[in-house]
Amino acid sequence: MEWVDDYTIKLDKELSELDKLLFSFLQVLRKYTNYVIVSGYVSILFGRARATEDIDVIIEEIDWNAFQNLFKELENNEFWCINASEKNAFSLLEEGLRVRFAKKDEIIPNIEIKFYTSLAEKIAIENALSVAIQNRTIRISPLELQIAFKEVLLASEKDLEDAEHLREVFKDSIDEEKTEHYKKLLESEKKW
Amino acid sequence: MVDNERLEFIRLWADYVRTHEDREWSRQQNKVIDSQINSVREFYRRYPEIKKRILERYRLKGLKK
Repeated sequence: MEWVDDYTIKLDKELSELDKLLFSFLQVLRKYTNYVIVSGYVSILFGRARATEDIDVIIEEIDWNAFQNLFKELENNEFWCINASEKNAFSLLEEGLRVRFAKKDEIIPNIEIKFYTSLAEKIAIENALSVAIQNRTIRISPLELQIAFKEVLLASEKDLEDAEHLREVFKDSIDEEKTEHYKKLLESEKKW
Repeated sequence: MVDNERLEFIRLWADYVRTHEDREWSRQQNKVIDSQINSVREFYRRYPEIKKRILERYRLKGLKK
């Protein structure tokens, strides 16, 4: 992997089943809204040796009409919503809750989307990194924010290991001051 | 709380990822990821009742923040 510029990483990896699922989902999603991938998949994308049952994607809010079109196009591309009907799915999103899509007849792995509701999620969308893989580009959360999020907010054994993996793989490029800044921000959000 | 032995393995593997070609580490990583996903698919094929129960749990989970 190599940094092409301050906001772009080029990866020449072989694609896993998870990568293929995500790429096929994003091919549709990116037509309707801005997005950023967060949490476990970010560590997995950069080599963490584990699978996950879901990929977390934060999106910018869209209206009911756009959502209906998104929903239809996902269905046309062999996806289905596993935890709600079309109408309920939109209501869940509006309430700040999560909606999950998987390939037809499957429930795992799935892709979880939610509208951004917190400052950290807004920062992740606005400062997303681009990762170029085999003629595709996907948007992921800044690495420092990812590490801070896993170390401060989630903090399970798996999350701390994910953070450690990112720290080690990007040991030459992680900005520790930025990580500390994000940690303080998340601590203050946590208090609220 | 993180197990030190596990953490040491995480660091060793991450170092391998950092110092080897993407295709080399991803080929090995994909064996782990794809086999886990295929096991789950096979499990649900064999046990549709459990799949149904998991689905119900997802539907309830969707209602929680």
